[in-house]
Amino acid sequence: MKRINSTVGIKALSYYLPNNFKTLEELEKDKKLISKAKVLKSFGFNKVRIAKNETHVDLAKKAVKDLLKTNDIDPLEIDIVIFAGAMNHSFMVYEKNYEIKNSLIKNPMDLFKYPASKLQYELGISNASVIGLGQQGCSSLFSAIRVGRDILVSEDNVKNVLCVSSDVFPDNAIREVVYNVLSDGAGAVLLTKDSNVNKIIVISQITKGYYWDGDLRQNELIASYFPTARNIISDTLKKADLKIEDIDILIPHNVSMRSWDILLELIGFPKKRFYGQNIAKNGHSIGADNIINLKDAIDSKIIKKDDLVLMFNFGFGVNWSCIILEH
Amino acid sequence: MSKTNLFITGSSGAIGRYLLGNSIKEDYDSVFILMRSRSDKFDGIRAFLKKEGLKDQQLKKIKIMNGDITQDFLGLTTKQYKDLAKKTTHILHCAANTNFSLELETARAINVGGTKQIINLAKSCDSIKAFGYLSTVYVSGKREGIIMENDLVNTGFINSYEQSKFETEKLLREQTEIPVSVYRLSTIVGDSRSGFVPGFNSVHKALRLYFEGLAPMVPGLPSNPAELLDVFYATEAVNYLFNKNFVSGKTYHIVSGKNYSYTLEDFINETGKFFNKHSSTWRNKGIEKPPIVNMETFQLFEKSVIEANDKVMLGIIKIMNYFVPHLSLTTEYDTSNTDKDLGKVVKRKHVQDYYSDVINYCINSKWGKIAYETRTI
Repeated sequence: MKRINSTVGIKALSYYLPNNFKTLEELEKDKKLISKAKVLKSFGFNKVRIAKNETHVDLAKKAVKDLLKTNDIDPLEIDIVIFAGAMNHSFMVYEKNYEIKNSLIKNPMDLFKYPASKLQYELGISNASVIGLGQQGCSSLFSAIRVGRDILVSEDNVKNVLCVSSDVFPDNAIREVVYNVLSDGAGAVLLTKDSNVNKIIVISQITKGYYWDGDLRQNELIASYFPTARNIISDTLKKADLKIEDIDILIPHNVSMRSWDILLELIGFPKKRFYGQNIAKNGHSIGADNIINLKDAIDSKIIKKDDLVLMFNFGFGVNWSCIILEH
Repeated sequence: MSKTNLFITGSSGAIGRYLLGNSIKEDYDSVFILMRSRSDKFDGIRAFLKKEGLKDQQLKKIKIMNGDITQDFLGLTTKQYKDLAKKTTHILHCAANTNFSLELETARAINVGGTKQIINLAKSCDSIKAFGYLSTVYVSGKREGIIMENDLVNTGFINSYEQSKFETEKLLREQTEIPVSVYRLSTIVGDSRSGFVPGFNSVHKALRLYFEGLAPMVPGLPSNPAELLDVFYATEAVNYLFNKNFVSGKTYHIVSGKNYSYTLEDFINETGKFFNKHSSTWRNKGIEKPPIVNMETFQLFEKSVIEANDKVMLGIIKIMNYFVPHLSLTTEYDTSNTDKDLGKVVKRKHVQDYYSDVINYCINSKWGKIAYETRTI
């Protein structure tokens, strides 16, 4: 299959991570881990970022504000805002220390307050219509990019689509899921038609609904993760008429370095071209990892012009996703 | 013509019952079998033999003795033992514990210790004409390269079963006064005539892991043959070599060989294809086939599971470790003795001719948990 000739690209990207962080040892002391800290450390984790007195909407605002300011983008030029959240409560507007409370039932209007609309208003993105996208777990931002790209291709009058992902764990939640340690964070990308940078060559996604209950099917998930990841990477490369050797850099989602060591072997990709620098530093920032890693790799000039970049993500639901860009 | 009588052990086992059925058709006057509990297990054997086409009249040859091969004098009374020794002219020793997870001492007690008792019986016989021993090609352990039928070399073992069988063969080689022939089989996958699985072993456990979406990866070389054996061919071959062309002092490899086997890669692919074919439920789950990886990658995964102390995954890795190391070994079992003495008397089938039926049986019998009628042989 020939490479898809699209000029849609990521014109700008940004992220926001809370300044507050905790080490694995501190999390263990606070009883916020399931596994021992030393085990997770051997898997490649070290610290996580934790929002303090900031909601996911606050994080999203900061990420978008930075994107607009740094790239001198007029918010009025944005046509669509797609807000993607990994967790169910990410689709609500709430105060910090969120917990599902009975008060919501007393005032049903609280169930209809959405982050996408709040961002659109508070950031002056007044010309944009909004879309909320979910049920993709950590793959939500990839799906937002996919939908944004498709809208840009199919609707002539749409020129700029802003995709935002933001999640904050509840204060009382355990910060470990299937041997991965989770951070709060937000990422934002601006997709444009006729971009001369970060052109999207191909996007792929596989959903396997059998694993919808990730808790019940955790061991089956672990067993399926590697072969399905390998398959989607292979299929995505084929779609783009590329081989793994053509990829200059692999931008991961920040699951454990240990699982990446195994997957890199499976797909035959050299570790020296893998951007794993943020796994220990930031932990797994749910939906924002790939954008955080992509921006850092670009800013530190690890990614050069015309480089082919493969981004991979996995999200509960479950979904495996892959994007190939040309920088 | 003087009477010949066979004493066969392990007749309730997956392979032993086939050999019992074959032996009844031979010219033995009586066929003695040893059972720990007389009634219940023999009903199962009888039902199997009748399905194999044996008539009640033929089954009358079977003489059941209540005993235990691990005990002195096989747990028989003095009179019974002397009588057995007097009458027995042929011994086919198939009894063994094939559980890979046994502690070595336990495996030895049954496999080596039990054989010692049978050797004692053979030495007590008035006139022993043939002693056949059912062994395994995996006495080769961790050896690679071409394994000759006469080889018996210790280079380490992957599980206690193969080590105990190795030690048993060594013991038998010391018995110069008994005419011994050894039949080494590879892993039985099913009956080529119907797909029936006589005993669910390590291969079926691994297949079940795959079926249930719990097989994360398989260490091995994609091009290595996946050595799986047809129980019908295997037992016809053993029967011919033991009952019709017995040669003392010889060892035979009874295997499919690479020309009648899938490669490991094809084995995994075809398994997935047949799971899809025979189970719509499986199809809907979208379970991926496990990738074939090198041993280092598998061990890295294993290390992670151990560190994480994931109990379910640990159990899965444990099951796999009893045999998967063999998949990474490049081993070929020479069959010169078998080719010469068996020739084309018994026809071998490529596993592709019956593997779909085996998978169908596995799924429909719920991996051996319920009865499933295969098509009539």
